[in-house]
Amino acid sequence: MMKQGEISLAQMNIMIYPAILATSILSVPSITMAHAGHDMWLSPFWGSLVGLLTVFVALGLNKLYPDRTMIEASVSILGAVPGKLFGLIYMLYLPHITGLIIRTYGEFIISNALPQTPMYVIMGTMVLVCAINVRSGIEVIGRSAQIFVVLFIFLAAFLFVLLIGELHPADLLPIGEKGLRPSIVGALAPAAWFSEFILIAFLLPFVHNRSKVVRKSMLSVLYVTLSMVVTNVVCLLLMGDMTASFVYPVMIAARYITIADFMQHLEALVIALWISGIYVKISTFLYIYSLSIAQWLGMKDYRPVVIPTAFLCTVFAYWIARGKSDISSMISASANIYTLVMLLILPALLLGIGAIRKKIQKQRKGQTSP
Amino acid sequence: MTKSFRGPMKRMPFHRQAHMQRGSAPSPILSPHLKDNVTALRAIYSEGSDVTFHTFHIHQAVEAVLIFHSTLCDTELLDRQILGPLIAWNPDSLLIDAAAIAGILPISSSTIVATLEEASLSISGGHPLLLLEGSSCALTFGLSKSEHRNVEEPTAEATLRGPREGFTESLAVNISLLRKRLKNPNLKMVSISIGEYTRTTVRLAYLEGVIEPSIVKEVMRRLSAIETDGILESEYIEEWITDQPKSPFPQMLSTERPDVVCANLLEGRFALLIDGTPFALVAPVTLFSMLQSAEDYYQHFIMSVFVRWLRYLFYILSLLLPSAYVAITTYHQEMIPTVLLLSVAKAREEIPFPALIEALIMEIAFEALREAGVRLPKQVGAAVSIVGALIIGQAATSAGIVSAPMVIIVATTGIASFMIPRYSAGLASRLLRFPIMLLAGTLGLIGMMLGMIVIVIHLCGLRSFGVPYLSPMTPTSSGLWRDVFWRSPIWANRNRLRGRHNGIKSGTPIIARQSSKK
Amino acid sequence: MTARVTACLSRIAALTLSLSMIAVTLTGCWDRTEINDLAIVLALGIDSPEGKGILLSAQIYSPRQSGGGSPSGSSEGTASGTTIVKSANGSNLAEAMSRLQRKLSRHVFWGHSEAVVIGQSAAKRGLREYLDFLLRYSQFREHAYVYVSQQPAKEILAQLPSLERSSAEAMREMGIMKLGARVTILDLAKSIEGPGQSAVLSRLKIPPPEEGKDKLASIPYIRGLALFKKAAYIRTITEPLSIGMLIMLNQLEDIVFSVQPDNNSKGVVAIKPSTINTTLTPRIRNGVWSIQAHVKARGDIVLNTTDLSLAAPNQVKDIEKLWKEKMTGIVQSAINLAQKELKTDFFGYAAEFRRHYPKQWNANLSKWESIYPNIETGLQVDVLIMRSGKSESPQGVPDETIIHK
Repeated sequence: MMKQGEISLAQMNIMIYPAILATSILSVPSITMAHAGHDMWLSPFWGSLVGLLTVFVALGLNKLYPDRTMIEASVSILGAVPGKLFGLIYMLYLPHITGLIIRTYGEFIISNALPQTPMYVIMGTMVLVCAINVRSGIEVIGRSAQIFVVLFIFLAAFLFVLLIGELHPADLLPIGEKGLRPSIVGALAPAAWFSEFILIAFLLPFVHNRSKVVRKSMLSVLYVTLSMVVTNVVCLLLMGDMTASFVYPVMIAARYITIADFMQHLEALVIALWISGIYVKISTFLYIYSLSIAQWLGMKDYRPVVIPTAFLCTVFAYWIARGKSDISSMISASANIYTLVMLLILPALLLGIGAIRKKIQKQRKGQTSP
Repeated sequence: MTKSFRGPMKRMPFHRQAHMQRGSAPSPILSPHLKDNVTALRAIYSEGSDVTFHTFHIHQAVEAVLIFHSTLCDTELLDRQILGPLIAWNPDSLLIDAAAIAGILPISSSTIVATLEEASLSISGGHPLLLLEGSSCALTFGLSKSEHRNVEEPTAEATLRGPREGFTESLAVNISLLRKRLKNPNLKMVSISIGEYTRTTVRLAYLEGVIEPSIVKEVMRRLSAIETDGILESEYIEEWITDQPKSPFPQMLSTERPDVVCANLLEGRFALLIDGTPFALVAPVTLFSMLQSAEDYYQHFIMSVFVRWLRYLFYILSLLLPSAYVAITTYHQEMIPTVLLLSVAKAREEIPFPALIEALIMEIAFEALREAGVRLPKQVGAAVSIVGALIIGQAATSAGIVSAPMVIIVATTGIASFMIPRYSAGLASRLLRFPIMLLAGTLGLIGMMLGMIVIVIHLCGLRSFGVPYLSPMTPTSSGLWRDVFWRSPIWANRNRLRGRHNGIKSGTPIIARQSSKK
Repeated sequence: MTARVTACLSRIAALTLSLSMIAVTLTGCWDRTEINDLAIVLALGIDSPEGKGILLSAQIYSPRQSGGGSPSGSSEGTASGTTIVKSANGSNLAEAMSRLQRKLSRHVFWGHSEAVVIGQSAAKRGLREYLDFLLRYSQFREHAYVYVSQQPAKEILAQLPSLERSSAEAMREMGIMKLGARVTILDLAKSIEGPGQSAVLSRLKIPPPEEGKDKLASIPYIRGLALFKKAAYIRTITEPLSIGMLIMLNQLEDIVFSVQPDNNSKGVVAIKPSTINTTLTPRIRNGVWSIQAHVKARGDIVLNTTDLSLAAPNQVKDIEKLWKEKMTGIVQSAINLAQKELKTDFFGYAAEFRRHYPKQWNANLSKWESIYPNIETGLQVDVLIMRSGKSESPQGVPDETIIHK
C-alpha cells in the first residue's frame, strides 16, 4: 500500500460531488426528460437508489480490505491471476471513461465558447492542468477540490437564485401524468452517473477519519440527488417541456439571466466556473487511473505514470467519438448499462466473492479450532 | 519527489582557514606567554586593519595588552572603567588571572575566553580583549558600541491607529522593543550567528508553551544548515530557509513593527530578528495571514471585517482585472451590457493594438512607473507620478494609442495592488498577472480559469514550516476558517493562544526541506 | 545516476512543455475577435418580400459615426446616426445570414440583438424556421424580445428615434415596460410548442412623421397584437380586443379605463389599474369541460370630470360597477374571439387541463380541437377602487354643483 498523503472524509465526499455532478448537470435534464417526460425531476430519486447500492458495494469492499483499493483488493479476493485479469478490465475501462469525460469537456467548450479553437488545445490544456494536480498528490487534489467545489456550489446556487424571477411554478404540474413508469425508465441515465460513487472504493483507503463513513456517504448521495433534482426542477420551471429539445439546458438557463440590464449572458462566467467542477472530476479519474495502473503493475509510486496516462486518456478522448452525436450515444441507454456493469455490477460480484471467501475461511477456522 | 535544494558551492574562505576550523581541527589555545598571543593576533590583524594594541602595566608590574577596534567600542568607557582601575589597581599578589580581574572591574559584562578563535571573534565583534602576561585566558568586555538610528515610525507599514515604534538596525534595540511588550520569561530568544564573514547575529524569538515545539526544532535545523558568506538583510535568511524558495508567494512575513511580531508570537509563530536590518521575519504564515494588516485588530471589528473583505476582493482584482478585461472584450463580448459594450467599442475604435497587447503595454508601463517611483527621492518621486499618471496617460489616450477603458482598468488594478498590506504578498499578484493575461488572450475566460486552477494547485501544495499555506480554509480546521472571513471581537476570541490562528494542531507533520548538506 | 537521468529528462520535458505553451500562446487566439472587428447587431428584422425567400436585416452599431473620430471619448455624436441597417436575401434564414456577413467587412456579432422584429409578410410564412434558427445558432439571445411589425421589419430597424440610442433600444425598453405582450424567443417557442399551440406577439407600427421632421426620426410604438396559431400568423387585433386578450394573458400593465356614470352624460371617470390578475381554474364535471376565469383588478382614479364627489362610498361603488361591466365586456369579447371565431387556445386552457386533469387530458388529446371551442368559460371580474388620487371632490367646479351623496 503506497501511502502518499491522506485526505479527510469530507474531502473525499467533496471530490466525489463534482465527479458526479460536473458532467451530469449539463445533459441529465434533457436526457432524463427524453424518457421521463414531465416527471423528469423525480428520476434522480430513483437513480439515487443505485447510488446507495454502489456506496454499499464500495464500503463493503473497504470493510473486507480497509487499506486496499479495489484493484489491490481484487488480487486478494480472486487470487493472483484472476485478480490481475479483473484489474486488466479496469485498466482498459478507466482510460475509456476518463477519455469520455475529457471529450465531453472538449465538446462542451467547443460548442459553447471557443468554436474555432482546435480540440487538442482545449483538451490538452485541461489535461495538463489536471496532470499537474495529480502529480502533486492526493492531498493537493483534495484541497484544491475543496476550494473549487465551494466555488461550483456557489455558482450553481447563484445561478438558480437569479433565475427565480423567471420560473413558472405552475409548470411543475401535472405530477405523474403517465404513472411512475416513465420517471423510473428515465432514471437510467442518472443511475449511470450515480454508479460513479464506486470512486469511494478507490479513495477510501486514503481517508484518515473513517469512523462516520457510512453516514457521511449516504449524506453525500443525498446531496448529489438534491442537486440533480434542483437542476431538473429549475430547467423544467424555466423551459417547461422544451427542456428535452436543448443539448445543454442549464446553459440555456444561464443565458436567460438578465438582471437589471447589467448581469446578462452569464454563460461565459458559468462555463469558466463549471470548469472548476470538471477539473475536479478529470483530476479524480486521472488519479484513480494512474494509481490503479501503478498498483496493478506493482509500482511503488504512481507519479511516474501520471503523464503517460494523461496522454493516453487524451488519445482515448479522440478515439472514442467522431462528433457530438457519438458522444450523445455514449451517454444514452445502452451506454448507461455498460457504465453500470463496469461501475456497479462487477464490483458487486467482487464483493460477493470476497464475502463468501471470508465466510468460508471463518468456517474453516471454526472447524479447525475446536 | 522533493526537488533537492542546490545551495551555492561550498567555498572555503581564507578567513575561515585562518582562524576558525570549527569542529574538525581544534582552534589554537591561548598560550600563557603574552608575546606569543600578541604575535598571533597581530598576524590576524595585520595589514589594513584598524585594531589598536594598547600595552600597559597593571600596578607597573604585570604587562597587559588591550586589543580593540577603536571604532567599534566605547573607548571612553574603556578608559574609565577598565584602563583606569587596572592601572591604579594594587593587587595582593602578582599572580593575577582573568577571573580575578573580572571581579574587581566596575563592569557588568565580561567573559573569559581561552582560544585564539574566540579572542579574534570578540575583537571583530567590537568587544575589547584583555591579554595578561602569564595567563592562558583572556578577558573580553561587552563594551561594543555601534551607531544606530533612533526608534522611528516604520515607513513601509504605516497605520492610522496603533503603536508608532518600528524596529531599527540594532538587534539590541529590537530585542528591547519586543521584551518591553511581552513581559514573560517564556519569551525565548535563541541566538545563532550566521555568515562566514559577517557573523551576523540572528535571534530566534518564540513563546515557549505557545509554539509547537517541533517548529522550533525545525527552524533551528534549517538555520544551522545555512552556509553563506554574509547575511545583510532578512531576505538572505528567508531564501535559505523557506520551504519552496521558487514560489512567488512569500512563505515568511517580513515586518518592521514590534507589535506585529508580538501578535504573531502570541499566535504561536516564531520570529527571526536579524542584526543590521529593521525587518524581522515571521513564520509559519498562511495566505490569509499575509492579507491581514496589524490595523485589523486596532479598529472596530465590524470595520475590520469590512476592510478584510474589501482587501480580498481587491487582491483578486489586482490579479485578474486586466485579464478579465482582455478575455471579455476579445472573447465574450455578449457578457458586457449592451450600452457598455457600445461605449467600449466607441472608445476602442481608433486603437491600433489588440486588447491583449494594449493591456500588456499599459501594465508594464505601470509597473515601471511604480518601480521608478519607489527608488526616487521623495521630491523627484512626485514629479515622476505627475509625468507618469497625468501626462503619459492623458497623452496616450488622446493620441489614440490606448483606450480610456484600459487606462481605467490599469489604474484600478494599480490601486488594488496597493490595497495589499504586505509588500511581499503583493509581489505574487503583480507577477502572476502577466501569465494569466497571456492565457486570457489565448483562451478567454477558460484560459483565465485554467491559470487560476494552476495557481490554486500550487497554493494547495505550498507549506510554510509545515503549515499548509491555505489553512485554515483547506485543509479545514473546524471553527478556525471563520477567522478568514470574520474578525470576531477581541473578547470573543478566547483561545487565541496555541497557534489557533494559523491552524497548527499539535503533531502537525513538518515536511522538512532537504538541506544543502548531503 | 538514474536520479540524474530522470532529473535531466524532467528538465527537458519541462522545457519542451513551456516552449509548446509559449508557441500555443503566441500562435493561438483562434477565437479572438477584437471589438474593433465586430459589427454589433442591436436588432434583427425578418421580412419576406412578396412571400418568397427571406430578407434578413440587421441594425448595426457604427462606432465611427458616433463620434469615434475623437478618441478622447467625448460624445460628440448625436443620438441619431449611430446605427446603420444592412440586409441580405436568402431562401432561408441561415443563407441570408451568411450573405449578410459577406456584405460586411467586420464579423457580424449577433450576441447583443435584444429585439427581433418579424415583418407581417414573414410572419405569414410561419414562425417555425425563425424559431429553430434563433434557438440553434449559438450567438442569438434567448431573452431577446420578439415583435411583429405592420410595416416591413427593415423599416422599423431603419428608424433612428431621437429619444433612444437606437430603435432596438426603444423596443427593448418597451418590452421591459410591458407595453404590450412581453414575449422572449424562449417564451414564444414555449407557447407554440406547448399544449396551447399558439402565440401572441406585440405589433409595432411606425407613426407617420411629424411635419418638418425627418421621416426616420419617429419612434415605432406598439399597436395591437398579432395572433398565431401553430406558428402561423392568423390575425391582428387592436384595442379594445387586444386589451381583453392581454388581461386574459395576465400581461396588461399600463392602461387607463374610462367609464361614464350614466346620470351625468358629459363627464368621465378614468381609472388606472394598479394590478390586474387573472387566474384560470379548469374543471371537468360529468364530462363537461369548463374554465373559470377570475379577473381581479385594483385601481386608482386618475381623472374625474363628473360632478360626483368620490368621498361618498355609494358613488365609488357605482363607478366600480361600471368599471366591472366595462372590463367584463372587453374580456368576454376576447374570449369569444379566441374560442368561437379563431378556435385557438391563446390563454393556455390546454396547459391548465393538463396540469389539473392529466388523465382526462391524455385521453382526449386527439379530440382537443373539437373540445376547445365548446369549453364553457365562466368569467368573473372583481374590481376594487383603492384610492382617488390627491383630490377627493372634483376640481375646477364650484362646490355647490358637486353631488355629495
